[in-house]
Amino acid sequence: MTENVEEIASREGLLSPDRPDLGAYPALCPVVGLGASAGGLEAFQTFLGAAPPDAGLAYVLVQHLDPNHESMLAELLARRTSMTVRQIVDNMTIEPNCVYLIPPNASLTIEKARLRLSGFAEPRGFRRPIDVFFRSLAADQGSNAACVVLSGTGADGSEGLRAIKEAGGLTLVQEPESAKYDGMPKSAVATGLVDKILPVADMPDAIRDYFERGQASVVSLPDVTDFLLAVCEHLRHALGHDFSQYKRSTMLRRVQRRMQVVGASTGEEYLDRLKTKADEARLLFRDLLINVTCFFRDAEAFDFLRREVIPELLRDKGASDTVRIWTPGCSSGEEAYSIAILLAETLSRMNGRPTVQIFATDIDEAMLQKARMASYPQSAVKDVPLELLDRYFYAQDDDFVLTQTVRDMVRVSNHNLIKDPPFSRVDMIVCRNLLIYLNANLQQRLIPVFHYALKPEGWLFLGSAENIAARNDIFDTVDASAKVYRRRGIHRQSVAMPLFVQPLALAAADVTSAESQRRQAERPDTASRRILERYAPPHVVVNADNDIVRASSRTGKYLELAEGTPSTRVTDLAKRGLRSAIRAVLEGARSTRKRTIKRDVSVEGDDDSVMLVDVIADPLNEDEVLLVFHDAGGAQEAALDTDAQAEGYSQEDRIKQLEDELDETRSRLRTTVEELETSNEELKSSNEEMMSMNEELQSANEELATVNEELKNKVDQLARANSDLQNFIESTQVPTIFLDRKMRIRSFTPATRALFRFQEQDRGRPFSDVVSRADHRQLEALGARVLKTGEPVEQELLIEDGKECYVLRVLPYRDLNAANDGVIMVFADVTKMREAQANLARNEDLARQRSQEIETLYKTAPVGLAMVDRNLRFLRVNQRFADFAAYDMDSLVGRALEDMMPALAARMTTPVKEVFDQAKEAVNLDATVRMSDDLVRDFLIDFYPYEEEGRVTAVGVVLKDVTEVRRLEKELRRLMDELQHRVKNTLATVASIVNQTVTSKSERSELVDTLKRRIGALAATHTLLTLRDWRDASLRDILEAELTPYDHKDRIDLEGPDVRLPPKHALSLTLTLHELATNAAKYGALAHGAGKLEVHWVVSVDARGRQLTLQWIESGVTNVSSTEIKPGFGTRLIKSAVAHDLQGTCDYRLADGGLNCTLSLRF
Amino acid sequence: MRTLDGARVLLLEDEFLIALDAEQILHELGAREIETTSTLSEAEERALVGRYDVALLDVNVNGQMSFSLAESLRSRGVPVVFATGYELKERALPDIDPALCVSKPYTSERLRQALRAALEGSTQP
Repeated sequence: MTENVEEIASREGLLSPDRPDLGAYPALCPVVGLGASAGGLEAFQTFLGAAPPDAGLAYVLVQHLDPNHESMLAELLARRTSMTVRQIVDNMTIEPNCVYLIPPNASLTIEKARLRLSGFAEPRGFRRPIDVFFRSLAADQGSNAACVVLSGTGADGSEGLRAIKEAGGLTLVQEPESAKYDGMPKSAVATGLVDKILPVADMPDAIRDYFERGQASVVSLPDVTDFLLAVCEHLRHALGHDFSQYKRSTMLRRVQRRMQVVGASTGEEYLDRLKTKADEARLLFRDLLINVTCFFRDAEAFDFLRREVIPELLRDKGASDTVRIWTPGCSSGEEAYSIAILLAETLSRMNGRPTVQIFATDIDEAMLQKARMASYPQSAVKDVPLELLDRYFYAQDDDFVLTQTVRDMVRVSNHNLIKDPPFSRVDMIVCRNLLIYLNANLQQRLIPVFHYALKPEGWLFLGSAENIAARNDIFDTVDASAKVYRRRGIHRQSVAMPLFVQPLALAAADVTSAESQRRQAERPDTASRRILERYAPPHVVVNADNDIVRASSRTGKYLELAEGTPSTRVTDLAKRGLRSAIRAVLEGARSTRKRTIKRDVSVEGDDDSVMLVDVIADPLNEDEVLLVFHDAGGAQEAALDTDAQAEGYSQEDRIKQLEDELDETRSRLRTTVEELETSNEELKSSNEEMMSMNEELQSANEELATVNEELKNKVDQLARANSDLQNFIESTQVPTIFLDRKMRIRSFTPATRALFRFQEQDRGRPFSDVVSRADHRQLEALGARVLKTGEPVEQELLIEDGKECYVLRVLPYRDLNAANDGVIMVFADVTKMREAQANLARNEDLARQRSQEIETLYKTAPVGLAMVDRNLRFLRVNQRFADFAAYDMDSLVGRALEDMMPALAARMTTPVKEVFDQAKEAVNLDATVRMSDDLVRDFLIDFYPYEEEGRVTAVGVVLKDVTEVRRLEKELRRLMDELQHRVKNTLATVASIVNQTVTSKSERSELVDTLKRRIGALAATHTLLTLRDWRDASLRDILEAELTPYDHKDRIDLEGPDVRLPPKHALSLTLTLHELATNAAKYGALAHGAGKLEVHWVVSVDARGRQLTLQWIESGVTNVSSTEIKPGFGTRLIKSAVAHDLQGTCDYRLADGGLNCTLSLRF
Repeated sequence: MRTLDGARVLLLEDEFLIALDAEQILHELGAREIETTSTLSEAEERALVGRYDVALLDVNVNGQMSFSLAESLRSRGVPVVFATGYELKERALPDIDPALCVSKPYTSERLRQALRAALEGSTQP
């Protein structure tokens, strides 16, 4: 055990040939096979529901499916998992995190990591798709595989599970109590090879853990040797079995597998578990001893046995002989019983049947228990030929139980091939698939043990992968392929016994003391047995049913196996002639409870001779009776017990009588037997039919259960969908009508009542029968069109002259096959929408118009408008503003006010900031701005906050140019002052006139007249001035206004250039000229008919300006006297006013013809 | 109730008729001598050479204001009364005591009050 472990693991040939490790073509990921039958849907759903979608495993689901029924399984399962669920097609590769589903009516296998489909080889009812797949999975993927057996009836999956386990895969089974049908799980559990029995929901995690742990191999442990030794040591302690000579690679693999199953990740952890968990050692022990076997495994080898070995074995054997066969490592006994069946077959054709003893030994008590039960699942007997199955098995529940005849041949006992002394003098040793687990050293040493145990020329039958370890010196090879060998030589090999033990102190002490006690106890018994065998008369002990309980040797003379079903009843076994005697003595002994003897009973011997026998029945207890046969020819019993009944017998009479009876009975019996056989045959054949029919029914039943489950599930979903649909129809506000192909109402939503007067009972009635607000013909025409074309149609529908407006959509109603099966009419009420649309359009127009108006206003407003941001940058300006700034509109936008209009900026910066901060408008701010050197403008500025979402984002600036207004205001004020000045002066003048006039005139009428004239003259010139906007007045006009009332007969001559006099000059001159005219009219030229007045004026210009010289010349006046000219107000005014007011001169003189007055003044 | 007993008065009034009226009123108020001038320059000349007890000045003489003349007169101790067509209290005539101002057309009583106020004002320190 010093070899490097890696070397062992990698060295070819050390791995046992029938146990592939990872398989030749491992799939990308571990493959988990799941098998289920009835009740499987639920189990699958639970499993997939709990399976993590990223565990990196592939799941292959094998279900018994109805071959004629489309399976909905994929659809139903896909809802439970996010993994891809694929129905398998042939040659599909396996990918991780996918679920693969067997299709109906196909047999699934896996080859080189590809899923293969094929037809079933077996008739329906005998198909075992789960076993088929699991077996191929085991062979193809080895330890890369796991299998799960779920709910189902029957036993499918169990055999496959064996294969998986044997190949090193993980085996899980659903808890039978939780399975809907527990047949398959129970059968799988019964194999004893299940790693874990779990509720379905716990399985995915267990599988994942298992494979994740598998990646951290214990093989990589540096101290693996120590670890294995420690495990072996522990096993030896706990169970007394030493595995240290087991083949190391196998041992390592099995231990590692066990570690994966229990979830131990380090060697220490596992050792700890071994020590603390009482059960673990036993479980590991079981795993180490896995021996998957079945009846007639290696059919060819067994055939060879049947043909060549067994006849030879039984040849020359008589009834008194015993054939001893030893099957060490028998496990659950299948091989031992297989051999027994072969022997029984051969024996049945023999007359003198030797006693057969098959010693089936093993160290695994659990397996031995199974062997004793002799009850096997269907999977174990699959290779048993049908006629043998019929003959040697009977069905009990789901299992096959071996008949008593076969069972009687086999003795099952606990025996350790390595440790315990071997059996001896056996005719044949059947030791298959045991040596392969042992290392070469131990194999080498076991072969001589077999030699020792065998009789000379005894047979050795080994497993297909085993051999005699090159010990050709002690064994002859009979058939190399069948692995049949024969002992050579007469001398026994000397074998050191026990072969290989370093006995544990404790266990060994126990064993030896028990052994010695046994031997001491047996010593006297040996003597009695010797006496019984050699010296006592042949005898049997029978029970109350007359069955033989024990028999001594040499009873063959009296008893023989009758034809037909073997029986142990002594009355059936007794030879002809003896039966009635035995019956009689037994009856006698039982009734009297005393020894009863029948003497001289004649019995037919084998050689037609007749011998006389005494039969003694001696009651032992309540039930059992000792029956002793005594040849009459032997020593007569000298002294019979006094209480024994002896009976004389008249032989001849009796014989005659009996023979007659016998003949008659025989013929009756023959007839009866023949009849019975006939009817038996019939029964058998109908039974066979029934059996096969039953199988089919069962399988059909399973399939039906599956289908039923699927349908139930589907119906639930349909009910849900239907309820959803019903709710949708009831709640939808959209009027919808379903019509069938003939325009009859199939269904409608309640909202249709707005348009149609539907009653509940209208379903099925023609659509045209229903009172409608819409145009029926139009609707039906549309329906017909859609039905024909299959194309949806959409159309607007006006109801009551467009008061309501609907959009009608007519769609084809497609049935499940997508064929048109009517139409659906959907009415969408768009009345409000249309109204809203119209409103919207109107409002849009209005808004656009307004916007345009505003835009126009903005552009053309006589005020400057601008929008500025917080940094006083222009966001927008209008033309007027741009004009103020003397820039283009476009060049202003985006620029800072300060750069473009610095003068204005100084005035605006603060208010703009305030408006931004306070969000309050500021209006009518005065600003006088020097726009350029010679241009100053007055502005009124308003600032308005522009808010967006409660935040001031800009400030609108309104700039009004009030320069002109200001100028006009000033002008107006000046004018007003001027006007006031003038009016007041005029009034003062008038007051003075009144004052002077009042002083000079005494008569009231004259006073008033004079006043009116003087003021009137002033008013006339005012009028003239006003006509000229008080700029000037024409001298001629003044004169004409004054003189016109007097101008008759052309006495007045006015001559002079057109002269325009300023207001002061005009007014002052007016007063003077008025007085002159008044005087002329009163006293002068105008007062006399012959008088004439000439007014001449000239204008001269010199360096000081213009000068007016006006001459007032009256002529034709008689009686001119200076006295007449009173020095009154008028004269004073004439003489002084021009001088005073206008710094002019007045030459006033009276000449002959009248007054000559020359006025001279500058203007 | 004569106010101007024996006083020499300088009258500045560019309107002949108003001057006439003023002279009359001043005479009635007891003025002994009245120098009537019709232009500002003429009045200024007179003011330089003549000695007056009081001056009645039209504010606006041919468009010229008589304030500077009034100032020079006052500086030489001649009380001044303004006669004006302007509204006194308003913008046209700032800084002039309304009591020393008569609004045209004025009555003799109003003028007398103004003259007295002027004379009293001048006598006080």
